[in-house]
Amino acid sequence: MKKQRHNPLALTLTALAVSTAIQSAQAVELGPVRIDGFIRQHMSWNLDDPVTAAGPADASGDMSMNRTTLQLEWVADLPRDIAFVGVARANWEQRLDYLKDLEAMGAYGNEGVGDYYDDADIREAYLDIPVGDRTMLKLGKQQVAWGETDFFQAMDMVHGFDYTWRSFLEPANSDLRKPLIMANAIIDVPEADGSLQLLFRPGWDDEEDIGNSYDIEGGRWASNPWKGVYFPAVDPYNYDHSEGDMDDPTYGIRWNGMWGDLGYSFAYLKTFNPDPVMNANPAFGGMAYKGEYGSDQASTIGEVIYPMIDMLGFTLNGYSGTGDFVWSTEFAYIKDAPFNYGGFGEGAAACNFIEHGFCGIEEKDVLRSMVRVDKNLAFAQSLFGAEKPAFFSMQLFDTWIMDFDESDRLKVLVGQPELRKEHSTLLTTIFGLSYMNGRLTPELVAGFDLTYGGGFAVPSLTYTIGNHWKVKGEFDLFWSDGTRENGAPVASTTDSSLFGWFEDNDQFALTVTYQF
Amino acid sequence: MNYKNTLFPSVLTLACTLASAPLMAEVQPGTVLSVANIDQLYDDTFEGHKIRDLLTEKVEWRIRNNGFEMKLVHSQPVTLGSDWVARSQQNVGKVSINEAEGRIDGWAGGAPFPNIDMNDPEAAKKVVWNWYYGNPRGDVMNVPNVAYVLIDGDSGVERVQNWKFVRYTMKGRMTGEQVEGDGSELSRTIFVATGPRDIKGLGTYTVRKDNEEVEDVWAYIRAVRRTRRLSGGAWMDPIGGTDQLQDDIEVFNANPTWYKEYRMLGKRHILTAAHGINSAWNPDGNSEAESFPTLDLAKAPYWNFNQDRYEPREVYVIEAIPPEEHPYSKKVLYIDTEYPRIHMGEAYDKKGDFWKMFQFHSYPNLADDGSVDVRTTSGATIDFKRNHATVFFPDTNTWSTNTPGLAADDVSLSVLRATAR
Repeated sequence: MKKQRHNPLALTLTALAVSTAIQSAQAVELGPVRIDGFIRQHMSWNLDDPVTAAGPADASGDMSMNRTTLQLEWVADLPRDIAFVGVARANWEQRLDYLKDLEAMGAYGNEGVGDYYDDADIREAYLDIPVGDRTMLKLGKQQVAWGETDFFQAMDMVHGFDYTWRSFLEPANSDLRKPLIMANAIIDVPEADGSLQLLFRPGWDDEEDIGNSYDIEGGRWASNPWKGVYFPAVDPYNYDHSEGDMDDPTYGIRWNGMWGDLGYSFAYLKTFNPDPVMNANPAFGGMAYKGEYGSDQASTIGEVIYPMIDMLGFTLNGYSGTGDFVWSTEFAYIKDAPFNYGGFGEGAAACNFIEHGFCGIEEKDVLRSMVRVDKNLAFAQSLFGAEKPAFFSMQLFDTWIMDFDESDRLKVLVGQPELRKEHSTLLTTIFGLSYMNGRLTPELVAGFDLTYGGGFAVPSLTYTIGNHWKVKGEFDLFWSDGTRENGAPVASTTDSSLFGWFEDNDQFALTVTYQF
Repeated sequence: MNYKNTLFPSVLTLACTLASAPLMAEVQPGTVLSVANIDQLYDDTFEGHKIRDLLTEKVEWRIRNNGFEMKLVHSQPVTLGSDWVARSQQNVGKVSINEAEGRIDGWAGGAPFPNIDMNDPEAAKKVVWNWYYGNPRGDVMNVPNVAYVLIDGDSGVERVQNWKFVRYTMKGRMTGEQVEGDGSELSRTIFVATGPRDIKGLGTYTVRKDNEEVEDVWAYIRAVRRTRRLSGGAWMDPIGGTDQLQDDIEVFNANPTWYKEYRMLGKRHILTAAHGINSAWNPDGNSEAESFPTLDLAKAPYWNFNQDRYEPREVYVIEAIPPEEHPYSKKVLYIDTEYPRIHMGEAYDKKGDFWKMFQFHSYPNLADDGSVDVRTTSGATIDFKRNHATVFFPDTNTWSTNTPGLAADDVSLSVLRATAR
């Protein structure tokens, strides 16, 4: 992934200047401009020996991340009730020994560990323009969240997420969402108790802003066993494929309203498939997607693309007075979602011997659905001495391949042998407590893969000190039904689904934030 | 209770009372009642009332043991808007409590029961309904800057949060249409945090219905840029990290039918800040002491409004008995006999032990449109079990009542999203 280079000394000095200048809990006001933000130190340590292509690394106890983030957010009030809203962020990471070891194995390519994790970016910069009494026009780089669920992407496909530096573990997913340059009109229709939203992305974004970004560069969150392996060297990104061209416009429409006591929304979205897929190189006997392969066939074995998809979505939420819980559900139908196939023992073509998923892309219609229940548990007050009922949320998420055919031998993920099933179902839970007037908040987040086995648990403790400081410690723990132990070829009978990719990636993470 | 334009006992009456009690020393206005002089002044009078009789048991305990000081000032009349008074009188003989539906039938705005008969077995309940429906807060409460100060009784201010509050009355309106919408809604409220940054953009949109159902509540969570429905059954739960339950907002914040029972304990006079200092928060203050000038931040427990002014007011004393699942066994409410205002309250735990005290100061405000609303200047919820308090200060200088141009559609879920950017 291409990141913008910046001077770490400048970041540090800026951070010091900001923290010294700002003493108030309130945002800083410079005339019509209000500025706030945070400086954060994000650290993590390995609790296991992560798996590389050469086998387990001797890295348990090693620091795996020491990341400094400075984020500035502003709102500037302009004439005619127009506002200019923006978010700027800079990250700098220490070149840790563990990361240098991965780099020595081949991770990060020519970027090196520094450029891979460091960046400075204007994340958001848009104008809020009221048009008449009913319409708000937002023009510029921004982010839009659709749907009900935070953990998964069903309707929430307007943007991709950057999972390269911290995988899926960040709770504030607005920090991971990759903003896009868009025109966004929200038209209130109070007569119908709702609002209409129109989105248009002209295709002016940088290439790294398209789709979800995973660590395929061999870094600390590369899936097992690919730490230390820089895939783009032989599987470059192709953002210009005619079926997934970053310069092509994308667009969407959503109606969001109330029907009695129920909240609901309908949406249509033309966008890039959130997850990238591997376009097969015909030189190895694979089927290029739509007959098109844009990279050099002689020096590559595949190319990473984000094909366009069409999504139709629906959400519904309500409150049950009988059970005193809030429920919500979400459905996203995706026409012709792309999946990779091919692997060892699955054919004579050379593509079957490169790695799993390099023989081509099969399109399938998919229905992603989610059901969630949120409930406040009063017993937590007496059982745990909490100051208020515990927040409990349970979420069931399913991906249904509607025209599933077992003989297609679709892969869960390229580079992994596990074959997809008709339904892939995950269950997640959140259990949160509150003490000391909300300043001490233990939380347990857990997830279970009901189809392929395995899961994760993230127990955490957050302590807020005064108006400025927040400290969070957490364990990130994974278990699975199986994982690849090294980069040696394995058959598709090997278990290696989602949580197998994270096996032996247990972490302890500590986040210290100064906000202003 | 008889709502007239001039509602307060006349100075003449007070003078007569004073003249009839020549043997008792009359405490001078400006005297600060404190632990240092409470015994000395205990049997003296102020506006004809013995000091000891003006102090509730818990207030006296706070003065003697908890650093509370009260500067005495003469009482002043509270004059409500003529529209509000007239509308209240229109309800006489036309309204009835609909227990099954959780509302008052026939209500036309103002207080539904302007004349309270102490011999009426439903007197206590009617006073509470007067508060619920008749609180003279204006059709639009637009408070763009509110401070929540979290205070530890040993160490002082822990954290200051800033919020924005807008409430739009949908039914019983005093201006324009008496009812907006289909009549099912009582009010719409947006409450959104503006700082510190970790809570900035966290907000709720609440629709209070005019029936026994719990409120419809949605939250906007900026960290994920998404609205999420909340449980309306949380009316008995704490608000965020504060010491207040949802039910404790301005002492009592529930549909009266959600409580099991109300008991009228009688009338009495108490000391309260009914004409409190109405710039009790200076958002531009350079220190905590400058920012919150009525708070005594110089000494523990740091939550006492020792620099405000206290006047005698006659109140109903009412015990409100909540449902079994409520954290309290009872609340004691001190509600003004002249207009719907709860000056003070006490909460007791399930064992019957004293737990929390609510102290809300106010002043009558003349709005730009000529109406009168009663505004909270500061409010404290003190949790004596945990030695902790949440103190609330609206910025009265930016508070706007019946804001011109602000319509019901401006208080909606989509506006919450836009506000919370």
